Amino acid sequence: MKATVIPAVIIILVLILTASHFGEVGKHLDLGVSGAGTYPGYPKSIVDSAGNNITIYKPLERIIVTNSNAAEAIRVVGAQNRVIGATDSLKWYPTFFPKMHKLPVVGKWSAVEPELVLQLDADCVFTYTSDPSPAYLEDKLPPTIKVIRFDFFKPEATREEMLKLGYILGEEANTSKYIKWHDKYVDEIHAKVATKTEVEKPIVFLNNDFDDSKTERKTYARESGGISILCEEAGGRNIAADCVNAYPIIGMGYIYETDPDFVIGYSYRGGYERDKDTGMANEYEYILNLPGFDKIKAVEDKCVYTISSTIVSSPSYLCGLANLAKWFYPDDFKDLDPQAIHQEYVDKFCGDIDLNLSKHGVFVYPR
Amino acid sequence: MSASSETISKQEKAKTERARITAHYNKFIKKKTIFIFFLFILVIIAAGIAATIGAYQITFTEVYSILFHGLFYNVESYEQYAVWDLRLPRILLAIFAGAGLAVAGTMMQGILKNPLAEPYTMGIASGAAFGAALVIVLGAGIGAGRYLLIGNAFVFGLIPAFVVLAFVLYRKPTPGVLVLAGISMLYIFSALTMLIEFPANPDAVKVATFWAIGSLERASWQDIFPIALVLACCIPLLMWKTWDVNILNSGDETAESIGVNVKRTKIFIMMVSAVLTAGVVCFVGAIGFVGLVSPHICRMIIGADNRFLLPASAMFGAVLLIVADTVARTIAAPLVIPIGIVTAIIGTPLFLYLVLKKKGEYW
Repeated sequence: MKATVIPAVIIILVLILTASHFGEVGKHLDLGVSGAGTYPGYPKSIVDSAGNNITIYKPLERIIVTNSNAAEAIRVVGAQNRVIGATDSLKWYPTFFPKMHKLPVVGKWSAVEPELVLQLDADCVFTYTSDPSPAYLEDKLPPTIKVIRFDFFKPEATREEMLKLGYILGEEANTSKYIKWHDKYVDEIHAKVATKTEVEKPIVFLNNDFDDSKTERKTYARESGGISILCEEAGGRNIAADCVNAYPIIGMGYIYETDPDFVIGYSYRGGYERDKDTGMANEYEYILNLPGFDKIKAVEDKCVYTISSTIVSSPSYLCGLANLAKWFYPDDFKDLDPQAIHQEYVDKFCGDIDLNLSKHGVFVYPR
Repeated sequence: MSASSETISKQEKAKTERARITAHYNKFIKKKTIFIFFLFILVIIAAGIAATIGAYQITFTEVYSILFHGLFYNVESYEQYAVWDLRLPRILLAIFAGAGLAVAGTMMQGILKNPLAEPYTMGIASGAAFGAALVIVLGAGIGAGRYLLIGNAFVFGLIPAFVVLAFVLYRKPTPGVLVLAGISMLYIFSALTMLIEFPANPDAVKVATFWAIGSLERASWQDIFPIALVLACCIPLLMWKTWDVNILNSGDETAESIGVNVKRTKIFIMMVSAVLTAGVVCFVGAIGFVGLVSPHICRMIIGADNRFLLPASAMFGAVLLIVADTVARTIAAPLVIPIGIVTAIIGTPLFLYLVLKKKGEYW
């Protein structure tokens, strides 16, 4: 037995000694994080949406984005030429990201390959608040590469995130153009909605999925952010707003009982890359044909719509807000033209893409 | 005179026979030792090759130059960082996790006399997943800082194991009952995990689910020392008991008659195996298949003598995990395939080949 125990113990001890000897290796990386003083206006500090304090000592010239929301936001503030790498998420959007979709790929939105980030010699990585987890990024990358976490898909946080983004990238002028445009429409909608009493506000059911389930529906509570927040900002009363779970499942009986004035289907089948509305039309038909829905007010009054995530969960979210407000209060918002607002967004804030939204893209159904 | 010469002749005959048996035994031992040595070399080769493969384009010679440079100097470039801080911890974690799970699996199969027993048979993985979910979802746990999650996963990984151990202490359950007790622990802790995840923030649920799926993604130098320490404490203890497990294979009564305290031995082995498994799982999550299949493959090649089977399984588990991890991170790069899928894809054909090739029953 000794013949096998001794080598095993020796091997393990050697490995422990190796591990403990090199345990501090990463901390010795000396690539010069300083530079304060050599760049006017630096260092700059922000607190990102994950609550991390981020301080940078020089302009961020080599940026990696892990998702399309960050890519879109960076383009809005006019820094798209500094993006040198992305995840495969952008490959799905050749029309909306004609340049960025060709960038070197560093992984997927939820899992980045840190070696590729190193190879691209990036200054920073812009990523979602929770994905990829720090295990893929902060824990793996040297402190010289900053990981900055913003979502850019939560309407309630987008304005503040855009301001911080503009500041950290030194693009305050472009950011303020966006904020001015954003505030103009959002303030107008908020002002009109503020005049409505709770009773005047329409009851809304937000349909989350288009699966086979006919006895219960998945929906959105306030905690989920996104469409549920937009619904409330546009003056709707979401029937599941106060549920504990962010994406609660509610029985059909509850929907019949609340008898919503509007049913809004949140769809992933629209966007800039689609010219035919077949996908969203199918989802629209699906909602109409749900058991018992022919008796609810929304269907009887033809107040069922599907809306693309593209204009709800992105810096262009106020285009979604404008659509919802116009559906909920057609008389109050008869002068509001959501498609014109969207076209304005594309023309002013989407870099060099030339897209006529009356011919390309599907964002709501029925149009 | 003739009687005396007959006695001498008998003695010589017996001596010759003993020498023949000794020679045969030595040959038998040599074969097993060579196999273990071969696997050890294979671990080194696999680790050496794995260090040169990665998303960062660094040539074979550059990698070894970086490795040599890093022995004496600090890391100064991203190439060096990629090798020393990204690849090496991952390779070492693969070696330790593979070896730990395989050793625990070998001992569990040995004492439970069940070919389907594995390191997670006592519900350790689901207990650890519950502990991790408690920290991720509720922020509550045992430990602090980085080790809050790891510590909680470790402690909760041990709870189901100790419940199963209580069965052994207060009852005299058959191995089959012990396996069933482990499975019931698995269901209880899975249900508890779902219960706390049900109303939770989806982002937190996603992180908890991701944690539970085994992965070497989280490898860092900080993890290597504690996991190596767990292995260094547990493996020699289990090696010490391998002879007793061999005797237990002849039946509990036979073992008792030879002088083995069956109950105490079983409890000791289950306890150490549980600590070993929880010590691995709390760092890498539940990587499946390695702990189940490594002992079987080695058993088919060198037999069921646990004195040799244990180190052989450890080496085999290490090789399997290094190879699987290298394939997982390179085959669809830059995407990384979950390692559990790769271990099963690589291990199953080899396992089936050996099972079909083996003429008699090996178990």
